[in-house]
Amino acid sequence: MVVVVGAGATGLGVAWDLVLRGVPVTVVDAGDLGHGTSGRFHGLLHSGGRYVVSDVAAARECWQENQILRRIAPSAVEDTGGFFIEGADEEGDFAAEWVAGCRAVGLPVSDEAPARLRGLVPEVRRDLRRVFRVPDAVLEGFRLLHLLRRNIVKRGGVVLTHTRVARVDMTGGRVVGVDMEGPGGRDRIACDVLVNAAGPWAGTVSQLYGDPIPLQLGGGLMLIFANRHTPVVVNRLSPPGDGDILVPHQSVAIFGTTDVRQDDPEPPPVTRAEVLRLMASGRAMFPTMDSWRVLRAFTGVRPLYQPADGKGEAGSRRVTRDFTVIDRVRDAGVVAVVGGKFTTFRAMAERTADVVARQLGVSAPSRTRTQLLEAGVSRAADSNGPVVCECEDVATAALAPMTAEPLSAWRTPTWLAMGPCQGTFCLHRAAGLRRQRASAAHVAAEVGALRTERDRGFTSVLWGANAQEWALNRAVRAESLGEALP
Amino acid sequence: MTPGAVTVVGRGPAGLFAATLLAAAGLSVHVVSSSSGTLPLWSGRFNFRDWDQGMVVDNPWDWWMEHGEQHFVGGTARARWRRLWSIWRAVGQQLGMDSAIPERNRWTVTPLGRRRPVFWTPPWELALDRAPVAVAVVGLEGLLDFEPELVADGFQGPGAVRTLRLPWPPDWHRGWNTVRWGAFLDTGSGADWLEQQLVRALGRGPAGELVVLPQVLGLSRTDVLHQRLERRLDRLVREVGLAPPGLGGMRLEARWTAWLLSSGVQMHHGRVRAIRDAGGITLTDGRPVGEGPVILATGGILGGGVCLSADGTGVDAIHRRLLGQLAEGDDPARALQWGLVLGDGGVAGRQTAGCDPDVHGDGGAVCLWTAAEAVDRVVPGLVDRLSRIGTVEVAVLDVSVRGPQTHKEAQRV
Ligand SMILES: Cc1cc2nc3c(=O)[nH]c(=O)nc-3n(C[C@H](O)[C@H](O)[C@H](O)COP(=O)(O)OP(=O)(O)OC[C@H]3O[C@@H](n4cnc5c(N)ncnc54)[C@H](O)[C@@H]3O)c2cc1C
Ligand SMILES: Cc1cc2nc3c(=O)[nH]c(=O)nc-3n(C[C@H](O)[C@H](O)[C@H](O)COP(=O)(O)OP(=O)(O)OC[C@H]3O[C@@H](n4cnc5c(N)ncnc54)[C@H](O)[C@@H]3O)c2cc1C
Repeated sequence: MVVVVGAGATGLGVAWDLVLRGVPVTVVDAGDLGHGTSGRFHGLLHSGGRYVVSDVAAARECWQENQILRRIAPSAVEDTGGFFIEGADEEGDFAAEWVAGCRAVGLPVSDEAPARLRGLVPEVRRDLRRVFRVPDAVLEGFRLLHLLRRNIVKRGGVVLTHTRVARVDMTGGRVVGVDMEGPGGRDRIACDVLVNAAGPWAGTVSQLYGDPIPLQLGGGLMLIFANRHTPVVVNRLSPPGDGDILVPHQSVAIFGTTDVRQDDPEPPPVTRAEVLRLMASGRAMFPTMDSWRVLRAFTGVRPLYQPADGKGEAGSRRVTRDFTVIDRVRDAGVVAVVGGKFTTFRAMAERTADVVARQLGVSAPSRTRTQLLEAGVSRAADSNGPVVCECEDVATAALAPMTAEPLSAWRTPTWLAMGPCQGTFCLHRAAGLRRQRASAAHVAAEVGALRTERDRGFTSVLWGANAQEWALNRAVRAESLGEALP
Repeated sequence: MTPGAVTVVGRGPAGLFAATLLAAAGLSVHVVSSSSGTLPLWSGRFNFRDWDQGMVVDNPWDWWMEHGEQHFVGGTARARWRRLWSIWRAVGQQLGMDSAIPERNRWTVTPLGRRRPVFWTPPWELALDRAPVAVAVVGLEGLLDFEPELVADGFQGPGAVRTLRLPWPPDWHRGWNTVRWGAFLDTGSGADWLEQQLVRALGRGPAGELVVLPQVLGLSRTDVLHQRLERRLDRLVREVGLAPPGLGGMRLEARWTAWLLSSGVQMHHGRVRAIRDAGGITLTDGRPVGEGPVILATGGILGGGVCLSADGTGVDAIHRRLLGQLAEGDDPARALQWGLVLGDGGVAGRQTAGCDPDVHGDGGAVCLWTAAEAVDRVVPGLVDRLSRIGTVEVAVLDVSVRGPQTHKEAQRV
């Protein structure tokens, strides 16, 4: 038995790889699916264009995985294409270096007329020097996570959410089991190998088995705007920096991001100063951004493996500058994987699963490169029954399988309460459905928890029409529904 | 000098009430607004004072007498309040809603099954002063805004509570929201369907049973349907106000606007940019509209009267006057209390500085009191002189206010 800590893209990816090799796996996550960075990222399926100058290996890997993900998870990828744009005031000739980098990586890139991009994205700045098209795409993170879980479970794997790994039992220098705390209390599973895929918490988890991983953490801020604003991904053509990518997602667009050092693995609170800083870089690409209707702000945390000068490097494979598979202690049965991108999760998982398989003496090779992740019921088929959430067209049929779970678990599989109204017009309906399965006290607590979660991203971006939406949200809660206000 | 004409900006409850007072006094009134106010979003019940620091206020009349001084509207005399509610009662009667003005707060149940205080309600809406001996909470299949089991949680007490669900009507489909339900029940076949279903589902039931329905009893023929159901079922029938859209508020707004128009009030559509020195206002497209002094009833952040910018500053949308600044880490709810103060001229409703009906539960008091203040400011003494609203005489209420102030020891949950 292999226990994977973390149900983000990486952990689920490792589990998927292992079940396809016939290895029994249990994935354990302290929160819901996507509780970590995988539920708080920008949603870009990188073409690699962003890294062709700074990190060629990462760029190559992005391009390769970009093509693989389109094949194995078509339902989670929207092939929008992307553009890199160079403003007339950009200094130096980064563009030449960048084009050469794309060639070296083998990334198909075409020189386009700025007018063509303006035709697609009228709000982009007018004075563009050069514009290039690349095969960027949009990655529907939550959909991919749920797809992975469904396929893992279908092949006999187990995914436990809301369950925290609290202790790792090492006997004779080898992992033999883990103690977990879940909704049903404490529990224990025996295991032969433990995979630490805890993202920003990988350092914390590594302390449980006595081999602390030094991590450097960076928080990144993203802003969600109502309306798509662009049908394609738009990147600023300059060395990677803050606030230089706009990604369309369904009916919204996400702009990001920043990178601020922090010590805590938890996502940092959004500050107004940081929002203003991000908006300032946004205006450099989209001069009218101030007048866009903002919906939410959210942050995610990047972990970066930081070994102290060569020390502790033995046994760790730095696959690119980007991610690392660590099994430093011989025969301990513990493998950690840190860093990387959502785009490259499969490759990271394959390398990690290779190490695990070797430790278990399993010779079956990875099959994730070609194995289709089968989508379940489509969203269209789910649209049966009365409408619960109008923003995202979530109907009762989509929620019926979930009514036994707490309301917080309904959100990401269906997008409930994640549209422009942030639950103002629908949360009470979800509460009504949930009441058929849970006590009044439970429902009240779950409604409160979901409100708190939504508020976090709401209250930091209160300007213009979003301030009105927030005031309405508050009036509905207090006056129409009689909820206590925070 | 009394002006012959007044311009009111905003047609939420505060703007409509101000226009009503002016029109009833025979002035020429212009109402200018960029969109409809909040009325279509709620049920149209008017709260007076529900909560004080998280505690439920039992007797809001007493509360105002005790705390009016510190409140944004300043101290106010019992006689003044009585007069305003007497006028409101006459407005209700004129609009076909003859509901008494209560002496104490009553309570209702929300779609989340929570009890909350209510003060004045239209005749169709639930307002109780004690737990009913028996309740039947009746939901409609497919109307997720009103889940009978959840609503019934709010009635738990000594009485018998049962929940029922009526099946889908023949041409129902998944897109039916409350407004669509209302339109269906406005039709003859819809009303027949509801009556038959209720008779069949409820049976005889226990004596004194109260029937509680979601607020979907039509938009334009509510009174007829409501009375018909009560007669046929031989029970009290009451609606529970739902989350937006609110059919109760829509009914109120439709009746109110129709009456104002028939009284000669002129309604204009447009966004106001500035107040003209010569009287009236200027719209964003440059057109001058209205005449005379101006009353702003622009509804604070919610109504669009106060604008927040990304840097945390809030300005009055028309005067562009700075009202406040949120610093990093400030609770943004503070900004909901930003607005103009009464001394700034005619300002009414949620736009009034210091008011936050979500926290205080005083939306009705705020709208009535500030609208009357604003009107008196542009036409001194008008409110005290008013003797009728349309065809209805203003009969001064006999509200026996008793002290001392009593708070129920109930937390707001
Ligand atoms: C701001 C930002 C933007 C990004 N944008 C992009 C992008 O556009 N495209 C892209 O490809 N990549 C992007 N990335 C990178 C990408 O999001 C991450 O590389 C990826 O999501 C990491 O996934 P993970 O599974 O390794 O970690 P996580 O998703 O963080 O998963 C770790 C999980 O471990 C769980 N856990 C922790 N401790 C315990 C415990 N003790 N017991 C049980 N469970 C535990 C957590 O609950 C969490 O769910 C972005 C990253 C950031 C920070
Ligand atoms: C969901 C909800 C539930 C509620 N429930 C209750 C309740 O149970 N009990 C209760 O007593 N009260 C309730 N209220 C009412 C609330 O408490 C306030 O009292 C009420 O919303 C205030 O109304 P208002 O007239 O001040 O402003 P609004 O109704 O917001 O009206 C503002 C008006 O000003 C106009 N306007 C703004 N700026 C301009 C401009 N520049 N140019 C032209 N026009 C402009 C708008 O178009 C609008 O017509 C509820 C409100 C809501 C939203």
